[in-house]
Amino acid sequence: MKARPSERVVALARRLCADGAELHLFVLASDVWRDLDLSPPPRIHHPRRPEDRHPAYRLQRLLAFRLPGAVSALVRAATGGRSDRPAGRVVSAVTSGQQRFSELLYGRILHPAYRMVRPLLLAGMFRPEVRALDQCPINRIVACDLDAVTLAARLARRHPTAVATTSLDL
Amino acid sequence: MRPRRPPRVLYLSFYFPPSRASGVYRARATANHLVARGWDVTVFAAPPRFLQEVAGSADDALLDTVDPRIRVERPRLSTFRWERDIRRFSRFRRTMPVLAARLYDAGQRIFPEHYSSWGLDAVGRALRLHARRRFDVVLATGNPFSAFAAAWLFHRLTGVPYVVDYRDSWTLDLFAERPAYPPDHPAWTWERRVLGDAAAAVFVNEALRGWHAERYPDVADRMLVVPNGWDPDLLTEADPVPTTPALRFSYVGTVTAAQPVETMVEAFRIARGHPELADAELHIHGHLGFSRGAEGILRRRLGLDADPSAPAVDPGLRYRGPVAKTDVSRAYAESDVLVFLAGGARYVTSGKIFEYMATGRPIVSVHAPGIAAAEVLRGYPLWCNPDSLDPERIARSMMAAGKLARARDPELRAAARRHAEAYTRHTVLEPLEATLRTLVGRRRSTRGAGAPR
Repeated sequence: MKARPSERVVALARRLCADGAELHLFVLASDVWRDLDLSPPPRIHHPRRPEDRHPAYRLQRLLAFRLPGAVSALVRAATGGRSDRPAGRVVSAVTSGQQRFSELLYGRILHPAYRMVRPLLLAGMFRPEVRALDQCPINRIVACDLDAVTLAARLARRHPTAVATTSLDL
Repeated sequence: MRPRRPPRVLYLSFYFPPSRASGVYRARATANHLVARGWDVTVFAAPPRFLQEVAGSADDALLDTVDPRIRVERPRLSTFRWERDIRRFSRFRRTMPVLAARLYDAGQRIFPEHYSSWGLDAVGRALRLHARRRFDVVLATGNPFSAFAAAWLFHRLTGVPYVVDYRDSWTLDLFAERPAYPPDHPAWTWERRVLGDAAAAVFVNEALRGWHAERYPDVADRMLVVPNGWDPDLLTEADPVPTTPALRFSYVGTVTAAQPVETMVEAFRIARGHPELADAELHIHGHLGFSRGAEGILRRRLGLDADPSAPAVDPGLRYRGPVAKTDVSRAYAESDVLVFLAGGARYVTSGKIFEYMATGRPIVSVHAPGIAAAEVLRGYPLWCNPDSLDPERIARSMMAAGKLARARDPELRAAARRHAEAYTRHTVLEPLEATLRTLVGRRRSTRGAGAPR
């Protein structure tokens, strides 16, 4: 999540700053961009809550790991921490089964599903920042990756004269 | 008794006027030739929006050179792959961009080409037209190869035979001379499927036919070569127009990234060091690249300044800009020597060489040795071939071509034009027309009637 943005995205930001544009960046990890030391510095907008606090994000973790983990813990508790053969075998089977189940549920179903709705969630997380820009004249909106498209579309709706594009070329 | 109706062909040619893609002249000539030979021709071509907004390459003057009896339909093409304007995205794509991209990629796994939506819509339209009045045969030209897949699917649904015209290669990288895809790529399955059911497969040179015949031996007896040619209707008599005493070398055509551009510039610089060519000029007529964005790179490679109004690094080099195909005769008339700059080698013929020969002017080769174009240049009396990409040797060929141009020997020029006569479009397209006619005849006789249905 705190990965450095691609070279092309950074190059575009640098060029816009150098051309004297007032640049507003909508990012999840602001410190990465601050470290880039763009001049003049752009206005950086980030959500008030980090993404991993979003209910949808937490729900997928809950369903994949915490609930199955709780079941596993219940089994361990029911056996009373006994290490004799039949009980120990049951505990280790339940624990490893739960881990496999959790990984499969998360990797095959919940995370892919979350990836699909993520652009919509991110657009919602940035809603206050988007509204705050209503009075600011915007000429160009660039969605630098797929996850930013929904947010860019919402900005475009509020700024009908701005160019809204996924192209990183000026 | 009802008169026998003309044979009806459906020609699937994505690139068709007003496109100015390199293969469009073959398609234009084929459609015009068929209609001149009495065929009822329907062409399915690219939608204008794609040509104007995505490819950015249209030449409206070319539309006027299409026989008005040809019916042109333009099936829909999804521009998902090329659309950058978020306001033009569908509501679904704006809301769920990741899912939209996944679904698009899934479609690519069925047919691995961004033009597949055009092919699918082409089949739908073809079925509707066929229901009203039957097509006798389908001719499909690639690229894009969605045209081949559409012809195959239409054949499976209706039984109408089809011929595929490999204007370009599908699974062979012409310039690297190796397979274009890894062995497990679906393009191979599709090519096998398409060739397996095709009534004939056409290639632009013997090298390409041989490469495919080796890979698909079961189909080899249905493969034929129909070379490119030159179009007499686009090339009026181009007698020399003496402009200045200095010799003018010209390259006429689109400059592309695959061509040895720097070698040509360097060879010309060396040639200009010779007193006889000291004041010679090299004029480049044509687009720089096929798409937007390519121009800047090619300007730099040619040693031209990024600012089009600034002079070239080599004072003898002049970039004259694009020339409409319908005005190309003037560019030839102003030229003393033509420079045949071409990328690739064994499998590349290049369409412009036929036009070059038709002008009867000296031609200097700037390409890798062993190029397929040598098949047609062999015997052309004004060909100066260094048989190398060494700039020194090319420069010597340029000097030899300069001498031939100054000599202006009318007999040599006449012999050169006679050589080119064998490559007029009508001449080279005759075997293709005959193949299509045979297929129609065979189909009508097996159906037991030649009357329209």
